[in-house]
Amino acid sequence: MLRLIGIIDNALAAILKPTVALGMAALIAVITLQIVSRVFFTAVGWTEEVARFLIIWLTFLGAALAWHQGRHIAVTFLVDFLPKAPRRTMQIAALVVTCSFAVALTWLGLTYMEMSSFQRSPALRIQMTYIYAVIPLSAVLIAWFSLSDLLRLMFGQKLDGQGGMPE
Amino acid sequence: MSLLLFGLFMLFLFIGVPVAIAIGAATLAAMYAAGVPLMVMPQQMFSGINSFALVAIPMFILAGDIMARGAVSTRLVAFAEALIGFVRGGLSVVSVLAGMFFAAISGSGAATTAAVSSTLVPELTRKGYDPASAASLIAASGTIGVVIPPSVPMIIYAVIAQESVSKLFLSGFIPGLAMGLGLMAIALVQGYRRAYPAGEKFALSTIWRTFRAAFWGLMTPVIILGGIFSGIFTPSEAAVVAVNYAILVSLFIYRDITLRQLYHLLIRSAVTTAVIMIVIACSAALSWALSSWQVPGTIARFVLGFSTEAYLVLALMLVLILLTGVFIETASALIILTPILLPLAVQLGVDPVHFGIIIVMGLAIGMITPPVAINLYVASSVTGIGLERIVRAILPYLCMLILVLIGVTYIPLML
Repeated sequence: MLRLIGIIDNALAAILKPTVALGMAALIAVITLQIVSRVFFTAVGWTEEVARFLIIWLTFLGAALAWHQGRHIAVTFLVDFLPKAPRRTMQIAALVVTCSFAVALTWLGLTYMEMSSFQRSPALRIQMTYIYAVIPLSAVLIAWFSLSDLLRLMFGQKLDGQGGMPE
Repeated sequence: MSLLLFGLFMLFLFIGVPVAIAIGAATLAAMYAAGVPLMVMPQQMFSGINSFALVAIPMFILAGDIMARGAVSTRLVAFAEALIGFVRGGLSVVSVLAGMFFAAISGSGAATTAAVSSTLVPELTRKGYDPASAASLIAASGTIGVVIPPSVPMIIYAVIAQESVSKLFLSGFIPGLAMGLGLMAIALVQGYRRAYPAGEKFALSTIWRTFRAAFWGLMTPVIILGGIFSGIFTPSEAAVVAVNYAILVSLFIYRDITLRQLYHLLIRSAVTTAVIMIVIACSAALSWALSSWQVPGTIARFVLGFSTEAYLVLALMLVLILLTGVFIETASALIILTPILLPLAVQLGVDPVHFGIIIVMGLAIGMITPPVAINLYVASSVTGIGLERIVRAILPYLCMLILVLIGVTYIPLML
């Protein structure tokens, strides 16, 4: 079963990676367009809004990918000091906290999407529901990744790179 | 309620829950206990990062990552060597100067440390310098990366404090210069004491040759900062210009990067950004809760009850900032501390931009104070020198940086 979880984990990461790369490329393109159009022609009104929405999507999806890569910022020196058994308990506790928060955020995000179904963005008139969708989407991904880490830990596998420092 | 919040946050943090989630989960639990509508959580997380100024963060990180990888950093180092390498112990002075050059291209301390240590430490070792001490000095110079503009922490501070990014950038120059000069002074003294060799003789022809080689790298700060301060670009736009420029230079002029590597750098910098921005998102909900329970005001009144002397309270804040930097990574510490300390500083009559420089510098020093010391880790992993040996050599540089911080705090002229 752990192998299956690993395969799903990697498949999700394999979708997330090109997505965030595309998001970054789009961000560069949109703001380049903003500069070029303002300096040489007339300013385009919608670029700033698109850039803001892109960065929000990048943040949430990137946060999910960061979990897979063990790159979230965490204070680990205390846990690292402990002997093996209590360290494992702490890691399990930390994963339970993460997973519960992610599940709660998924639910809150979905409710928030429903509540704002009538809202539209000022410049592009996009339904804000689509923009807010990234919150439950990435929350459910983080819930899955932390759950799979939890299962791995319970069934005796060691975690590598849990909560590393940003490079 | 705020006690429950702080208690849970500390507990989560120390059992190793990632900072963003520790903040989010503690806030959500406290909101639930207080009967606050929980929809505030997603709403604040969203609006906390719904800001055009934050676009500058992934872009400056990406530009720095591209520039750090090859020809640009080696050529900058060569130029710095031609300028100042002729003095005794010159090569360690060069490592500080190269760090300052790179600080004007990159907005992160880790990228600055990586760029300089990968090119210089082998050469320093070959010429008889103590490698641990050299790596330690480069890690210390890396802190300048977030003080000389552009600077990722300054952008974060500007967004939280609703200040202008350009003003903070402009105010970072002289403190960054002071940090560099201070470190160079120590490098010179150590050079004489340890009888380090002098580098090649000072020659205008060498300077001209290395300047031409390093020209495209040296133009980066001119374009970024010139663009911002002349008002042509906003800081976010300048960051994108820097990315376009970095891609152009390394893809077509120096040809030291492939499209495949560029793709991986895009992913890497997106993730680096996301782990910072998700902390900002979660702590937006935290600050909302804190201010609705009037916590910053209560803390300010409590502290001011003891003393209203600005210099004394500032000293206390410096201690708190430095201590936080020892245990918590720079960006997260900044995001947690700013909403609490800034109202206090403003009540004392400290200018918010000045306070921004103080808190960014103070937390930057945290990049070289173990156990959480990103620059030392980077220097150790790039050079392969053991962390403990690097840590042992850090003390003089650390003291000098704290001295400069005290100067910047109390001598407003330095801004």
